[in-house]
Amino acid sequence: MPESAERLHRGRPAMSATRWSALVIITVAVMAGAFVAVNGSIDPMGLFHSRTRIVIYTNERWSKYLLSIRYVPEQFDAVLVGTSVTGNWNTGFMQPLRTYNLSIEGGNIYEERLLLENVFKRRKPRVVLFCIHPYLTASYGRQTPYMTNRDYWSALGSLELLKTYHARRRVERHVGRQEFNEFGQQDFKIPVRPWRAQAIAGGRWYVVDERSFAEYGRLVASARAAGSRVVAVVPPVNAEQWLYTADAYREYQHRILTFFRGDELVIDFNTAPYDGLRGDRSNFPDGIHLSSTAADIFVKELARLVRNGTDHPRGFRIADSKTFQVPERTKRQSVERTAPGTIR
Amino acid sequence: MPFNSFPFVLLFLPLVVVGYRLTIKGLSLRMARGFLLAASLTFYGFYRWTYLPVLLASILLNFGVAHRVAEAEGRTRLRWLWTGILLNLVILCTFKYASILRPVLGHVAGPAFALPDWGFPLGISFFTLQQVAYLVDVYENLLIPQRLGVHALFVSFFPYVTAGPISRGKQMIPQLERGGREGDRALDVARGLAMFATGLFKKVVFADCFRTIVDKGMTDPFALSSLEAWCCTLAYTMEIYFDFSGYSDMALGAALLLGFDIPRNFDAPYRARSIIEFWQRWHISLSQFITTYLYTPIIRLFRKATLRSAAVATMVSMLVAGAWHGPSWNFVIFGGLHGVGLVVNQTWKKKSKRRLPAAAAWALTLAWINLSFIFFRLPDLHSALHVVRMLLPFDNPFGGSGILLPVSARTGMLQIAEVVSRPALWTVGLPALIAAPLAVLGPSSHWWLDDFRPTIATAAAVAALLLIAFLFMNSANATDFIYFRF
Repeated sequence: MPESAERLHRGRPAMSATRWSALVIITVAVMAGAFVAVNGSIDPMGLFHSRTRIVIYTNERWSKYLLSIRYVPEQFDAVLVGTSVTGNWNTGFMQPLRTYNLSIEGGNIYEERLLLENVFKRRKPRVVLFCIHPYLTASYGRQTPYMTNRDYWSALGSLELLKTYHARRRVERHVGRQEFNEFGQQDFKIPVRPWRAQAIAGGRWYVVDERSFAEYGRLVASARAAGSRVVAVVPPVNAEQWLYTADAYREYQHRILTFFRGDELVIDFNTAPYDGLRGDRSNFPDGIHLSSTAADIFVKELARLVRNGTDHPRGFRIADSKTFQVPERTKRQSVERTAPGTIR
Repeated sequence: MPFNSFPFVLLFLPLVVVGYRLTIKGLSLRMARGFLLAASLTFYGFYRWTYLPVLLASILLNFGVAHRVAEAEGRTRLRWLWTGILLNLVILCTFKYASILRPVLGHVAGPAFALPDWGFPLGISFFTLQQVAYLVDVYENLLIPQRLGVHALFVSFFPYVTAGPISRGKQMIPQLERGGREGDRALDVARGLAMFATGLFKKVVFADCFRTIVDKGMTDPFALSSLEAWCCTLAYTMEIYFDFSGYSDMALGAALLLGFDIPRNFDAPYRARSIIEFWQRWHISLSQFITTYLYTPIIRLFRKATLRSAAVATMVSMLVAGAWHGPSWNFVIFGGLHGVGLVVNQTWKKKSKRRLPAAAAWALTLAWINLSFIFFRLPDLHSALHVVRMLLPFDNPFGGSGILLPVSARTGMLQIAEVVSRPALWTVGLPALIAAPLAVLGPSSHWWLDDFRPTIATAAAVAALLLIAFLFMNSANATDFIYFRF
């Protein structure tokens, strides 16, 4: 017998094998049951109890997948489908339309579909905002092992759950930073780094995976069929990158807009009224994502446009009497004051 | 339904164990065997029911041939044996190596003659070898062919049908006829539970943690620095051991819960001080099969066992063993490296009186094993050779690609503070740090079988193993077994 085993047995009274097996099984059943019961009552993802405010602490995919099962459909009227480009948009500014930001960092439309399906299973949202960005259709399938049915059970006891508790504790003790809010916005705190528009323009997000592209169309159609109002949102691209990619971007946009009907609202932030914001390098710390300040400006504008559009009894409209007010800080270039949305 | 899934652990296994014992007590042994056969076929069909006909066809074919071999006499007996072996090889090659032939045939004969993709039936490599051994044993009068039910259960028995251990008929069939091995049933259940818990823990905690490291690095092997290449390759060496030995322990445990004793497959292989010793401790059922049914017949062909004939037999056997893993040159190289290691080892043993110091022999053996597993893991020769080159710290020794380790670009030092702040340190790093010394210094998990005593301490240890394993099992990094691909 190895020494470690000898040490383990020395001086301990032996019991019958049947009693031993029963002891092991009962211990495991009782302890596992207690662990599951405690986690079920804490329920940090609001799966078993109705929760009015849930904040993500770690693992965006796992958390948003679980939140989309109950929390999002119960507490929100609208959802934003997107990638990291819209991930730091604080949809809290969309009030009174309570909007949850389902954008996932590095996510594609397949993964967004998984979230949206969960939401629709419980309650259809009034509005679904679809981000139009090539990254959403650049790949297909799950990017991680998360976002499966197994995640549901992992909310009762798993490493992900323990990591959530740990991250929450760090935030509560002011050791860690609170990255997400209850609207699903992730405040990246993107470090400012030098970027070259030409290098960003050559990124892989201009590759289109046709399966993903078709999936996008199916998702828009199913949201519409379920009775939700669909809105297309084209996020702003920085003006320097736009010089290199405008044609490709417009071609992509033209293709994907075929999934939207003529009476549906299309909000394009790459139009003249926003040139000032898009031309300001400080609004794009890494060349791709908006800074928090700029994101807030765009979300407030989005809220205004959606509110005006959805107020119309027959659907969406664009002819907005108000015009976009460029904040003082970004009035570096002349901005054409015209209606910012476009409708086809 | 893999062993490391909740449906298997909490539902299938307990139901089958209880059902089998109740059927033996309440009805008859024959009914109990029928119950076990039905459970085994359900287990196999659960993966993909379309592969069930392949398993059933293989069982029927070998059952028929075994009876022909037993009934025939003289040269006809040998002819039937060879027919059986060839048919088994044809089935194996059809499913396993068709991927090589498919493009060649499509190119030569045109699309009209293209081979369809039948997929790869789980465990085909294992149950085919097991039945080849069965036919040979019948030919050599070591076994008498049994009734179809017993033969079918012998082949499809759920603890080993998917990935071994490759079980010999003379060990299994008498147990199947008696309804289990002789001995204390209650003690077998306790041992089985301990063994299963150990295997489950090895797989879902240790192997899957190492897999996280390996997958991160091997996704882009060309970006690895030397330090990362060492981390990655050693992590894979650990992963495959804990994965396969964990599976084998679970198989052994599941069989013991039912009262059956199946072959042991691992015996602390990374404590080996030579490649010969390694193969006496690693995938024991396969190395015994190769020794008995491949190496020995080749030696017999030479009529005289010399160092040269042994070298030829070793190389041929190991190349075949490598190719058995799949249609890739990397597997052949894996087998070849082990063949070379064994030949050098045999020659050194015969010709030289000098013995290496124990620590040096152990380190050299582990380094050779680590090298061979690079070819086992990577999908193509190009990337495998690149990783081998990266093991030598000539260019980019510590440079931070950042894939695995945050290394300071200025000093080349590991940034400990950043490592500690990552949650992965606790869920991946800590289990890996515990597992690696256990693999190279710790005892074989078989001490549960040989020296098991039911005490409070062992009960607490097994309960803890199961609880931690369940926690990891319910997390997203739980994955399939590596050997399910073979």
